Amino acid sequence: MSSPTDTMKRTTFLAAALLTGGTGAFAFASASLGGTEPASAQESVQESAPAQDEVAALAAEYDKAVKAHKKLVKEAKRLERKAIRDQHPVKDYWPKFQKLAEANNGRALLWLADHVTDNRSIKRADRAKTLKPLYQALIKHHGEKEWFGDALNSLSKNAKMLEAADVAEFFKSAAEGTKGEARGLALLYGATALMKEDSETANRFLDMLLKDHKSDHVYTKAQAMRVKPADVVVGKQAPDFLGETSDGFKFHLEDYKGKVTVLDFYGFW
Amino acid sequence: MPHLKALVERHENDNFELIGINTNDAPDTYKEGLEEHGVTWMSAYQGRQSPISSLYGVTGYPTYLVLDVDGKIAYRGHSGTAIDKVVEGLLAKNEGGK
Repeated sequence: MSSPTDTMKRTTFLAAALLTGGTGAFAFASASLGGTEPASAQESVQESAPAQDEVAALAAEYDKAVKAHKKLVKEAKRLERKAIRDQHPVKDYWPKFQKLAEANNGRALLWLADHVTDNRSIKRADRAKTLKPLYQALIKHHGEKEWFGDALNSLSKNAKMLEAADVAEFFKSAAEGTKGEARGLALLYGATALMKEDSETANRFLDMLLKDHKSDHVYTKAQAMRVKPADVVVGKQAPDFLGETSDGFKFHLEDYKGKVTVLDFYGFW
Repeated sequence: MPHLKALVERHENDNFELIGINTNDAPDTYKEGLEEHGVTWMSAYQGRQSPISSLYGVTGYPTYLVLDVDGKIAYRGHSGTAIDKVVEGLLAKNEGGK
């Protein structure tokens, strides 16, 4: 443990990436998920860099088209609006992404899952049917991708469209097929998504998180799911958390038992 | 910050630790801030998601918590001057009274 008088070296800033956890910022995962380890129970699929770029480019194109389409709808005369609205870009783009997804392009699978609600030709009642195979494939083949956190986030967001039992199964498989921070994320997203519908599974995930992932930043988030406002008042035990300095030094609040400690929540802004 | 610096210096040889928990600063702002304000004590960087703030239900800044040697919350509030007294009291108690 560094004492207050230690000079702090201003080294690299992986702390920022490590602490943002959750969506998108999965860069840190490369350390624990690394391509050097075998896929274990899963069959991982490596996409070529051009394939990844293809999906990214297509997605950017789609977003642009949607923006333009929105403008058209806004500017159209009332009577024309419905016709124009029905010509949503998703009609052209969905098949393109579907083709890539059929070749097991993970990013394409994820795009489809994220845009199911854009696609009006998929009836509400059929959304689960569309989503299930997408998430199945994502979890089976892409659990080691550095963007896998995005897939977990997607599943979390779409959980309401699926049966709770299926959601629980998905997160369970995701947790089983990953390790380190990735597994922690799967458990955390799972706990969050299931707390209302299946609190038993959700709490089991939280127990696993608190036991196995003390050194991951999801630990603090798991603690936050257990702790209530009434637990953090004068007289109560301060809940443990994982902190990390800009030098990459990780510590737990518990490490400071035996000392009078001041926690200073602050910002330079 | 100068007040906290004084606090740290005053208790340099005591059973005391100051832990800063930074919230909502961009990585560069954070690094610069540490240098500019001479933060030599332990400071955790939370980034934008602030899981520690969420855990403690902290919404206003600065917020201070003082914990006794067993990790129990002895003070929770926003007064920098109040924490000085609480810290002193706890240290004295722990040393069997001064």
